[in-house]
Amino acid sequence: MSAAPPDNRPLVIYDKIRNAFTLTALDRQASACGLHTGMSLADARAIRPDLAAHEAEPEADAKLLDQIAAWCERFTPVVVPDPPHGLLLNVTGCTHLFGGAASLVTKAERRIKAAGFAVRAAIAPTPGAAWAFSRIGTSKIVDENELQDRLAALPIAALRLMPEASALLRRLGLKTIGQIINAPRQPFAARAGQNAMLRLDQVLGRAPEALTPRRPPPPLFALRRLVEPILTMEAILIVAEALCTDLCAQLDARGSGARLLQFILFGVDNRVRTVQLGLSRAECDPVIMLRLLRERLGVSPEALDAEFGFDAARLDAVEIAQIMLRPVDLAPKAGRDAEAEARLIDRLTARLGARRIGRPQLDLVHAPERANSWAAPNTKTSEPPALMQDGVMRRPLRLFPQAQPVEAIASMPDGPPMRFRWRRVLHDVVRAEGPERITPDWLRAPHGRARDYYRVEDRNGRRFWLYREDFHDRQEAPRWYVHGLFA
Amino acid sequence: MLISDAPAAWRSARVIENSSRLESRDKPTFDEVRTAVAGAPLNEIMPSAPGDHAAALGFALSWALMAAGDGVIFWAAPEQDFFEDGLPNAEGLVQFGLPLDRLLMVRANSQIDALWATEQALATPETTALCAISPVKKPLSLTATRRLLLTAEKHKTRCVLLRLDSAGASAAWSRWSISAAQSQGLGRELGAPSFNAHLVRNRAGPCELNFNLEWDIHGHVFRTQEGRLDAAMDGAVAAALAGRPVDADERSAA
Repeated sequence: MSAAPPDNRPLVIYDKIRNAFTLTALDRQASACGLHTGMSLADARAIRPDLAAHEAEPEADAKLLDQIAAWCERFTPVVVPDPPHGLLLNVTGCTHLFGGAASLVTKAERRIKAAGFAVRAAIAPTPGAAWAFSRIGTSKIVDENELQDRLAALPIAALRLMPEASALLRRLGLKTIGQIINAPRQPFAARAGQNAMLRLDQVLGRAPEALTPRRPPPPLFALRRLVEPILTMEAILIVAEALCTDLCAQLDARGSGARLLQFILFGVDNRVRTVQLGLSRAECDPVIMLRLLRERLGVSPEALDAEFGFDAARLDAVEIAQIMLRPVDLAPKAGRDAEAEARLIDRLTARLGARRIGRPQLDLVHAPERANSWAAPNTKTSEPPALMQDGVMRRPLRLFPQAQPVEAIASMPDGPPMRFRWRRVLHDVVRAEGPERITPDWLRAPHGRARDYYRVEDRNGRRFWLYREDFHDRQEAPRWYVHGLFA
Repeated sequence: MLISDAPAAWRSARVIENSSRLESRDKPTFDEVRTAVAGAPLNEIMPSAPGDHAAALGFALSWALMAAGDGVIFWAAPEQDFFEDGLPNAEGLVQFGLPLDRLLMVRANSQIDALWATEQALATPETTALCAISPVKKPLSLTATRRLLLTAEKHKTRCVLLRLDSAGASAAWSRWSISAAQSQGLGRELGAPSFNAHLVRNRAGPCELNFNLEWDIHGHVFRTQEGRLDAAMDGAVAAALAGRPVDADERSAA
């Protein structure tokens, strides 16, 4: 991957290898001057004093490689980054989508070249062979029958051998793969090492090679490549509809549904936009899928940032679950419809976000302000506490997150308030029950003060939950707060 | 099929029947009025004074509980409204008789989102939706209430609007104005949740009716206390407070 040189000077990239600055990459002009990788920077400077040298940034390189890999997912979902600057694409069964293998290679090369990279590509039956042909030689497409013949002409360096092994083979006068391709296995492995034998087997497809794709391939996906880039939301939704129909047909055939979908839009600017959509139950109905996708995309169309448009789109079923067929209830009872409820939750989640939907949940904590938590709609609720026998509420319907200070007068220092002023309104207390002492959490607030809670009712029938902070020295006046409101 | 084709006619027939029965008596009881409007797709509840928000919420929740049967209670409110008067307290809701697993709540970003969510909920069968309308400069429009009414009518669901804004024109079938009422307990003890409900308008029968109600958390019904209001006015409570100066501020309570 070479950046454009700033002027006519040769450009090299160097890195610190074994305490010496060594060239790791160079451009065409530099190599024409006789520079090569592995040369020390000082030597290179001696040959060309006007050299433009930059230190290597392996992390930025890896990031860029990953970006290119993401873009390459338009060809196949199985893309394996091969650092420092290679990509392996498993295009088995995909080539016909692009008009054949040759056309696929040309398209990929042209597009990456247009983005300013130097690129070489090849298609071969094994990953090892593809590696070899993309780096050495002129063959672009190699099929199974001619693999051995074509490989035979390549030098040993095309085998991805350890440096020691390739040095040994060179010393023995073995220069091409053809010379070792049918070598007796035992003596060859004994001299060149097990690794060399394995590499040879892998390049010929005699041994399997495990590849770790950039991301695990989705079990099912639908892909549409477009003749013209699309820009508008309407067009995107039309493509999404086609993808949903495709994907649902595949899901339906397996009797399963998707629980997590990923909608990927490939931009003309070589960037990728991804939208994720979670469902509360496995779904294989294109109408429902599309409606949710529309809600999800409709929230922030500008976030997609179409810029120059999209020329490919893919819909992945990332998580797949079996759809359990339930018997149809022909005489349904009035009550809850779990299916309709799940659909409602999905719709709300797609538009408002999962954080905003749920229910208050009761935690068994002593401190009233921490007894409330927010639970997702599908979580199981704990066993609710028994209702009060007398039908009187002990806890308020609404609780202030922060207790609000009030001015209160009590007849006795330890008694309930007689009247209090809250939000500039004076309330005369008619009924009062208490105190109920709630001590602070010794672990969380060791110096917190105990609270004496009173339930009071004013002359108008409004009910409040007040508390008095325990005061240590009897000199200062007790402080009162309102913490909640009863119905 | 026949019924769904002519719901309006069917409903109006029932309304006429109800109202004629109501008119035949001097003062209809709360249960009679409630059954007359309970099936209505859209009802409104508002606090009669700014200090009665909690009472109006309590009444709205109990109304939703009575209407829901075994169905889901959907509660949408703009987030800002949630914080203004305190968060819904899980323990309090349970003690009010509301099982938390039947509650589905949306803390919406804005009033528009809350209304949208309510509309979605109303399109789900067997749902009772409660939507809080927070006080903003512009009150809810007639069109917005009409949208909810039509959605609820179409899917045979019910909606309760808790109007904390200045409720103006509305498509609702009934509107209740709620204020807190003194509870009945022994001595100085507090009693069950109590409300003064004033039926401001009613498309299905008589209106301008007053009820003094006590909420039964076990049976999910309201108990009326006929004559309790008069007793209180006669000074049963005032006697206990004798000798206490009446504060002028209370009248200007805001």
